[in-house]
Amino acid sequence: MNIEFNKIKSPFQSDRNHMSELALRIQRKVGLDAQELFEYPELKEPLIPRNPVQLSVEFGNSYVSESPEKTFIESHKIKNVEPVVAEPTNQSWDVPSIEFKTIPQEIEIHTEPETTQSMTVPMAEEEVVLSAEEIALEKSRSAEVERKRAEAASRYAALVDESRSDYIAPTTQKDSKSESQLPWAAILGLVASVAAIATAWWVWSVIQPPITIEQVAENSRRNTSDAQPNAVSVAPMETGLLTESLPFDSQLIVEMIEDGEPVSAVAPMTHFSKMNDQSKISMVELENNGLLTMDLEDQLFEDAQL
Amino acid sequence: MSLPERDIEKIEMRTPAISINFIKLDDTQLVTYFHKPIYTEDAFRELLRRYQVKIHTYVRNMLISAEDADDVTQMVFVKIWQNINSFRGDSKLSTWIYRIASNETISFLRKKRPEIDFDEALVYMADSLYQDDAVSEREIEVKLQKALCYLPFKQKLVFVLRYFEGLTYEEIAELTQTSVGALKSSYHHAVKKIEIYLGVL
Repeated sequence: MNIEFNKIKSPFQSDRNHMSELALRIQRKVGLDAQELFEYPELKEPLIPRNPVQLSVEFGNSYVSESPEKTFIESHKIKNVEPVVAEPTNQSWDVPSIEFKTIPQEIEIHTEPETTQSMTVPMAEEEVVLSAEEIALEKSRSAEVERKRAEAASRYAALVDESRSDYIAPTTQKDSKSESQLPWAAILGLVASVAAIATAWWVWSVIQPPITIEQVAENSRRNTSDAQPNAVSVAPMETGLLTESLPFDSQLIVEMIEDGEPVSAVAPMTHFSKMNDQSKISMVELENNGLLTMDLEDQLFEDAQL
Repeated sequence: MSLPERDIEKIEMRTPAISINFIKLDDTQLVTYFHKPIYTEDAFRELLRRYQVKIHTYVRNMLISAEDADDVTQMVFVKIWQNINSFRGDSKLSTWIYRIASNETISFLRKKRPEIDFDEALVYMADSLYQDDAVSEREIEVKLQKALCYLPFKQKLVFVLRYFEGLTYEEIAELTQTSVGALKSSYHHAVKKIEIYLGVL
């Protein structure tokens, strides 16, 4: 049981009366006027409301009115409100009589030939007689209005066509474009996929599975065993001038090849005395550390300024 | 005819010029009134009101017996009253009071059972644990208290101050005059032993 996580309380409970008595005792002991120290202030308002009215219903804590009585009284008042009924009165009002006249539904315009000098417009029951100037003016006005109307209609039609063209479905636009153009995206995608496949094949062919240490050792053993002592085929050559021009080590190797000795078994025939100083120092360091064993030579350390 | 100066001082001490609501003061502010003679009594009463229950519970945890806890608590506050002017606020008021309570508890044990060791006295207390009616009925709480009786006194002191009273290691180190590291070690050992005890009991 882990008491650090599961806190256990002290079993000793302090009694309030006992503590109060003890406080009085202590005060008397020290010579003070004993006063009640553990008095709790009297609560002016009751903690539990008598008639709580729940005003809202919520998840969690519901709101309860702090003054339930008041709320209750208000709701009570609302319930007992009597409907106000207007009392009948004896007043009378004189309403003037209204007469309705019939209005003609259609107005017919009778146009007569241009030769006529007057035009009659039957308006209800009376005729309006227009003069020739007025008729001409009216005609010009009507012609102007017709012309403007036609212009407006054509403009409206143009606007409607334009707006319709704006809302053409994009699929149709794409279709029209795709019909006219080559499928470059498809071609590029195909080329990219082919390139990716080729790259993957190349990577797969280049990467070889990891070789274990045993396999490495086996390979090296096989290589050494398969190595032919006379694997180096030397073409017949004139050894006269060639060997003389070669360095000393190479001359030795050539000699060994000519003698039929295996080249792989040839130890590096390095003469210490012919090395430069840096190489000499390195060789000595290697030998001192057990990494190299040098054969004894004449004049071994004569030139070495170590 | 004028009153002598001594009588004037007495009258001034009885009637504070300004009534202060000590309940609203924190410990640091309360300490400042210890040194003002006209407010010392009220300040002490406020200190008693704040710390009496805490100290009584602490002493009760240490001594088990209710009567012993009453006596020691009374001695603690008498000592506080006697030294109230000497407290300068160098440490926290609560630390100072717990230090006095710890010292009084040790003194009480030395006086009451001088013939036996502290640790043996604590074991002796465990037997009286179940005879007290004021002890909680919760079994685990009583078991913990019984396990505390089997702890060495120092470990019990550290455990009670830390576990029940909630004091920090620094405060306990100040009142016991030991290092925080040693206290941590003591508390750790106490917890482990109590957990073993609770498994066995």
